[in-house]
Amino acid sequence: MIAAFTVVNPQVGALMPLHGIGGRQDLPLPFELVVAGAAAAVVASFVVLALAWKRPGPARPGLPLGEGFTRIIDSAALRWTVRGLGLAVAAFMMMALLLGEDRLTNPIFGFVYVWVWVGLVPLSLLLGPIWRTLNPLRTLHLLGCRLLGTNPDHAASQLPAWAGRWPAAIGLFTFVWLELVAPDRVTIPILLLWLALYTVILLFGAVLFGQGWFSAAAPFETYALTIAKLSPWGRNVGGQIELRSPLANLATLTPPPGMVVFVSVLIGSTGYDGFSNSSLWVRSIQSSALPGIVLGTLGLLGFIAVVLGSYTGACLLAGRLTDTSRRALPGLFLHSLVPIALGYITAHYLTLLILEGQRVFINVSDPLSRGWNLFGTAERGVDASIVNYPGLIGSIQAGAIVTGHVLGVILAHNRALALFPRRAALTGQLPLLLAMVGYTVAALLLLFAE
Amino acid sequence: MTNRLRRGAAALLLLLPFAGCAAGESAGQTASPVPASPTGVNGNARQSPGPKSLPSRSPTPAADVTVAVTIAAGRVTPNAANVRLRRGQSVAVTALSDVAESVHIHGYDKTLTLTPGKPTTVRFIPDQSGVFEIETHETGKLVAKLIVS
Repeated sequence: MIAAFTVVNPQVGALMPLHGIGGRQDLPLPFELVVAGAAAAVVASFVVLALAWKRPGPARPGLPLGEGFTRIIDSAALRWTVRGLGLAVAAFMMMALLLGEDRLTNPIFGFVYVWVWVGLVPLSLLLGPIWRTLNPLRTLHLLGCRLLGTNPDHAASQLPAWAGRWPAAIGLFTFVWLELVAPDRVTIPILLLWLALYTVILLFGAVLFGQGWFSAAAPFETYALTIAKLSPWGRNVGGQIELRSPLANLATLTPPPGMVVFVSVLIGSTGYDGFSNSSLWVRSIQSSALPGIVLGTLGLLGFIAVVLGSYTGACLLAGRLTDTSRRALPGLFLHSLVPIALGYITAHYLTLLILEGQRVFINVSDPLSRGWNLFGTAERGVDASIVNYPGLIGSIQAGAIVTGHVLGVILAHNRALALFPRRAALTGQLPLLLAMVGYTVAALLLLFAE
Repeated sequence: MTNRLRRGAAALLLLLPFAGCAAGESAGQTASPVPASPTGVNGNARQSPGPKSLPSRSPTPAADVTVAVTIAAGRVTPNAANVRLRRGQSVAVTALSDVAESVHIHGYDKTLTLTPGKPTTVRFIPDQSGVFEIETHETGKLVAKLIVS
């Protein structure tokens, strides 16, 4: 027993408030919903192929919101207010991390794993690229530069162009590993270790490479800015803020090197999250001689590799079928994976955000476990009424997956028509279409698994 | 670290809004010797016409669904079983261990504190839908999932 006690255990995660209230998880999808969702995805895919068979016209121009609006959004007063807000929230949470007790009522856990990790998605969808301004490390760096009178863009050393978003992709992998595999991930020492390394790497990198390092290496920022491309907010050539259709906005995504891996980590880890909760996987881990941390890491890497391999493979095959340059294709079609990722994220994390997000509001009132009630929320309970509408939850989950799929297919279709020679455009779309049907069916099955 | 985590988990679960307010909940932990069936899970509300008869010295706790947990020589049975039931049906979780252990039912904040060799039972009626894990606390093994629809 003592020996078993010290074995690294993947199920420690079940003790954390990550999947609903105190270990509550959503019900598996009913089989009918899986079949209906998969059928809808396949039919919609071929409707897009068959009916939308025309050259996309010139992109509809956005609606400029005027110089006045742009000036207000870009004003130093507003920027510094948002930066101050980001810094204040971060400082408060660091206080909870460094001075608070190591128990689950410490708001830092819900803040990192729910508010930041999940909450940045709706925030970016609503407000666009706000994360760049909220990012407290960016603000710290900026303040430091102001203080020293140096240029925040100044780079003592140039980051090579091929670096692109590779540092962020690696950073994202370390975070999803922390969230899904690491033992004791909801204890102060482990979270503190990750956050300390994260802070040190980002700040030292910024000193070395200038503030461009945050774009290259901050995983939450890269994630938030990618999702922000699905918001209606964009800027025209003159720098004016305009309203756009979210899909047109997403089509302007120009992924730097490493971005394909970044998105694969995002989708693969969300899939692994569902899989790792299935009794089948837990049963095999518990009866395996190998430590859970090894199996968990391999499982996570496996899911990411499958997404990366199938997507890149489909793009390369499309290039071969259409005689177009293959190397650039994974980047050129990457935007079509973003709605699919959003569908996965919604299906997996919506109830977590609703239920555990509320708990953070409660816990922030007493960050140091001293019986405080700073914001008057300490005595509140979590409104869990949503859990008794399992049919609604299931429909939202399946609906999110299928909607993401349909939007992805439309985006890929439009890009294929723009890129491929006309005679080969139909066959050129098939590999990616099949890959997307695969992602959708897999996502539905993962939600169906018990 | 694991100890601290467990304490934290316990603290969190105490705060659960619906902790202990399950309607029609029966008396918490009653000791009643119930040997484990080979599968560890008896009765499926949709299939079983009534409680199965188990050879026991005292009456089997009458419940729509029974989960029998045994912890012996470091092995926990069942191993991540799926137990389906509907809201409003009663569930009895009985556990027998050869070491000091505790078995926790997440979301409903039920804990069976086990002393070696002494079978312990908890009965309750789930009133929230979702998937709730039954776990050993010392070793953190997933025993079963209550799938309440």
